[in-house]
Amino acid sequence: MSEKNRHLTGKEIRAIAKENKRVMKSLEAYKNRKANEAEYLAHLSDQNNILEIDNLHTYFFTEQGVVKAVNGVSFDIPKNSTVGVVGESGCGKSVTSMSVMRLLQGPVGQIYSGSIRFASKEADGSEKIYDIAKMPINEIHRIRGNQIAMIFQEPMTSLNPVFTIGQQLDEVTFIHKPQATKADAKAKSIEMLNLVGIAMPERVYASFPHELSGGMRQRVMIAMALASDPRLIIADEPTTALDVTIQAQILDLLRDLKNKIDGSIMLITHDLGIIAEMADYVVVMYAGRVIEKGTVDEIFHNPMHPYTIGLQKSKPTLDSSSDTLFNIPGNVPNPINMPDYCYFKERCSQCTYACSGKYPEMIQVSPTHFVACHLYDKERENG
Amino acid sequence: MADERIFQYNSDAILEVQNLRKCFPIKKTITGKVTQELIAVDDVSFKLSAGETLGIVGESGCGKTTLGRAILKLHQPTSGRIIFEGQDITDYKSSQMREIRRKMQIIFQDPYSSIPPRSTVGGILSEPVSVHKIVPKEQVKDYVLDLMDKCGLRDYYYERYPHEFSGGQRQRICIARALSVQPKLVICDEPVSALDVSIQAQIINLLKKLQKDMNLTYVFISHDLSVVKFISDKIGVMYLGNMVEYGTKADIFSNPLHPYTQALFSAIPYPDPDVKMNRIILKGDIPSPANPPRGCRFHTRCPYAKDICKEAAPEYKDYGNGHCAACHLLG
Amino acid sequence: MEDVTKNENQNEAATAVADTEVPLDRTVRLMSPTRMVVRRFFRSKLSIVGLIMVVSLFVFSFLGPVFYTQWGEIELDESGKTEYSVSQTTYTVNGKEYTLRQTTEKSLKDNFLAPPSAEHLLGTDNEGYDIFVRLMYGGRISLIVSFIAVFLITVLGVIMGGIAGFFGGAIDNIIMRLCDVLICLPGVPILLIISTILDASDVDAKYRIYLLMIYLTFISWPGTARLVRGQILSLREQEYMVAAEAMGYSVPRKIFKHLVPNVMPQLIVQMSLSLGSMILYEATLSYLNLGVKAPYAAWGTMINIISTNQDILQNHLNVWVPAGICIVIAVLGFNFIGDGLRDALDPKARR
Repeated sequence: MSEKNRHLTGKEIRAIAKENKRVMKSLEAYKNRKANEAEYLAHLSDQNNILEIDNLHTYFFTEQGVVKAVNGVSFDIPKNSTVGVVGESGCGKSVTSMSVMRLLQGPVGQIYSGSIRFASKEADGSEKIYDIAKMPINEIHRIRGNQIAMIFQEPMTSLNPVFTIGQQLDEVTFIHKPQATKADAKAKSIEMLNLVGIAMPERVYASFPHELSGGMRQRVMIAMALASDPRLIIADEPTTALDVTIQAQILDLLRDLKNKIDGSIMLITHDLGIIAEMADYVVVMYAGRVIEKGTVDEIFHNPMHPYTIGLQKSKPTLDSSSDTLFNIPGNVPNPINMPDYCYFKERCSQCTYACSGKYPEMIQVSPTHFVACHLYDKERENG
Repeated sequence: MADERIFQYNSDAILEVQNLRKCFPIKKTITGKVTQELIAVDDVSFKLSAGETLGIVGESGCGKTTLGRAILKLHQPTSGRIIFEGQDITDYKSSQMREIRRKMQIIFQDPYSSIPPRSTVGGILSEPVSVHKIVPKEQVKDYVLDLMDKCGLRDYYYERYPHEFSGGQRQRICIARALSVQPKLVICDEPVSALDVSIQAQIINLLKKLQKDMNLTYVFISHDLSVVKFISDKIGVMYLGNMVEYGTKADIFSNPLHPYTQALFSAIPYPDPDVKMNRIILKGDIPSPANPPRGCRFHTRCPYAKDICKEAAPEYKDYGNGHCAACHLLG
Repeated sequence: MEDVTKNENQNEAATAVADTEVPLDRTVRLMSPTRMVVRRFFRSKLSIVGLIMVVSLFVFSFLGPVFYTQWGEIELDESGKTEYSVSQTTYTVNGKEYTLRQTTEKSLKDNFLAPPSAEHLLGTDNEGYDIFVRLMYGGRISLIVSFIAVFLITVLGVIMGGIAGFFGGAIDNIIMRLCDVLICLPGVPILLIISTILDASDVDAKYRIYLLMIYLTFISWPGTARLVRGQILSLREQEYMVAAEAMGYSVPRKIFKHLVPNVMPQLIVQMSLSLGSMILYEATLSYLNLGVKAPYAAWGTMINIISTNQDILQNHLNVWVPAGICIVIAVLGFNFIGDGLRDALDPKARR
């Protein structure tokens, strides 16, 4: 569409719709199939990881064409660590987390290919590796909300307004421990509310969501996520909707919890400051791809991809003194019909001849530091 | 009450706000008598010279948006005075305001809801120009194209519809619309909060460039201290309707007087993993503005609160060089 | 219950991705919002079906009588035959037999209840009127009357709702309470009363339906007024309206250039949906013999014929079924168009 001076014709729209319908139908059937456990058991490449995302493709089949929201994303989450995923809106960071939770809205949103390997802890204490991307959708409850919990951005809409906080917290316990009594559930809920630093847990337990402020609700959401003793918590912009001083409280709480719980956190945010404070590893995403990943020190002290560098420079800090801000020109490219070359090429100030070629591969610059940029092609050849 | 001497009329001040107060009725009796009020802005005073930028920082519910709209008289102030270019516009009727509106404009936070969806960019930008007869009819298009160029919009966007644009480009359209009537004062109400970081930087740079080119005065409202610091000459910190601290950028950042300002500074996550901030974490939540605490409004969360803070509201005083604050601790 | 909220979030994520704008390129032109609506409207099969139904009814009713001039609306078919019957009576008077032979000539001037034939495409009714032609004239009345009623309802609704929404306060209160009162009025009983009054005061049979529809307008505008008021209240909170205020635009400019165009989509949907219900209303009135009266034709009156004679209901389907089909086509057609328009205007509401 981008080269021609016209709208999509009716014929093209029908062709897209037909093709979408076919692909969606087969993916939907795959999602709803009955399968042996053996079909979706997998192996981790490193025993220290809890989650491995490998070449994940998540597509949205829209009327205008296929939106490749996540286009070949790979990263690992080691045990007991915090991995920060950072990127601008539309870069696919939320869709990645939705894919891990298998919460994509079908039939439009589908995991197209790739694998998400998760080390699940079974009831008998042993560890089993499941490939979440291949799991039938009605088996997913074994993991979702149980071993992987999620904290959403909007604390105002993530709680059901007609039930008390207590009822909603108890329910989580009942789902994951069906044999629990009411008293057990309540004790567990109060314990969780205490854990997230709520001063009067009994009172909060009995109150309705609208009686609480945004910060309190976010604490409750965190308590709900913790109630099932998850191995992985996905926090999707947990503080974006909150005020700065409340955000400081919540970040403090999350940092505190990190040491108390036995699990990993996948922290999705657009704020580099939060990443710097919270994360051990950082994944930088742009237009559905990972462009750089590494430890937090590597990303902040030795950023290599021009986009990562630009992102860090364009945020004014309290002690910056220059007169104009560094800015990355232009906008994120059209998500439909992405070009074959580097997606960042049009906005990049350090383009080389190679940038018009095929999309750059991930280059390893240190044991933990990877970057997808043609500027470092030479290092790959050398190393 | 504010020190009278600070607010004596000064000819180079483009905007003066004196003891501005805005209440919204929450509950009314059947006869229309107000029984409960929300005091959104309470006794705010400041003065702004032409070409300056005043940054207003605060958290949600602190009344910063209401203050911005009250200055434009989009909300009629309950009491206090607004003096714009030497005219007291507080009691102007809407017909009188129509002329003044040309000189005061506003840019909103949400670039999606602030542009009418059904007209082209050209239509959006030429409407104010022809209504206020800024240029003769036949020059309107050239004028608008020139303006679009200044705001970083391509000329062929003229016939495009807003739904084709991304947030940053829409915000450029909003800026162009506000500037199309050649205003002197622009209220920027969180203009970059809804945008991505890389786009934020573009818009902030654009605002700065336009200020220099067109000699604009900004009131820049934001919750993001780092952005405010970058663009402002003077900064006002608001908490629950009160201006708790006001001063030049250098004064506020090098020597924050009010404990709330200090906490606000320390709450910002710093993008460097090695810097461990000595963070002041405030306890509790922001009280509801419909039912603010007695005495100093900040005392419920203040780490240094004394008994007097619960009883009496602190006076707003000048601590030298126009650096004002309202806190009992300062004596 | 947790899943509900998760789905909501997921929805947002999906739309955020799907709605990401195409970057602007000089060569790429996107459609204007109006063109997009038109295109989405025509992409739906249902709305095309609706459009075909309505257009063909219009052609049938308004152009039909121009080309098919064989019969008029109130032209009787007087081609009935003359029948002769002979009766013979025998009297015996004083033992003598007299035979009285009597021939009666009975002229059936009107050709009533004729079956469909080349002469009468759908036959004739119990009076001898051509049904096919009356269907066309009936359609004219039904469509014109409902269009007038919907137009009046919309005009009144927009004015009242607009005033209430824009000015608010006491005016809003008065108008909305008036709406409440009007909505409480029982429509049909009052219609019966008005109809009786019209009967008593000798109003021309042609015009009484218009008077009744004006009454219907009078009790139906509150629905539209509420819709418009609600829309305006929500639009007034939009920042572009605040921007218009800050620009110092005059009140008429704000109402007609900024508010009304944004209320139009919902209004058009409402109009097309209420067209269907107005046709039903008109048919009901005519069926109850309150609306168009004989000899003039309306679809409702044509069905009403069955109440005069059981035999017609059973044995002469050609008299009343076509009118019923016309009503169904009209109402369905308008509803399909309304639904199609609604989907086209707000594609997200469909999911």
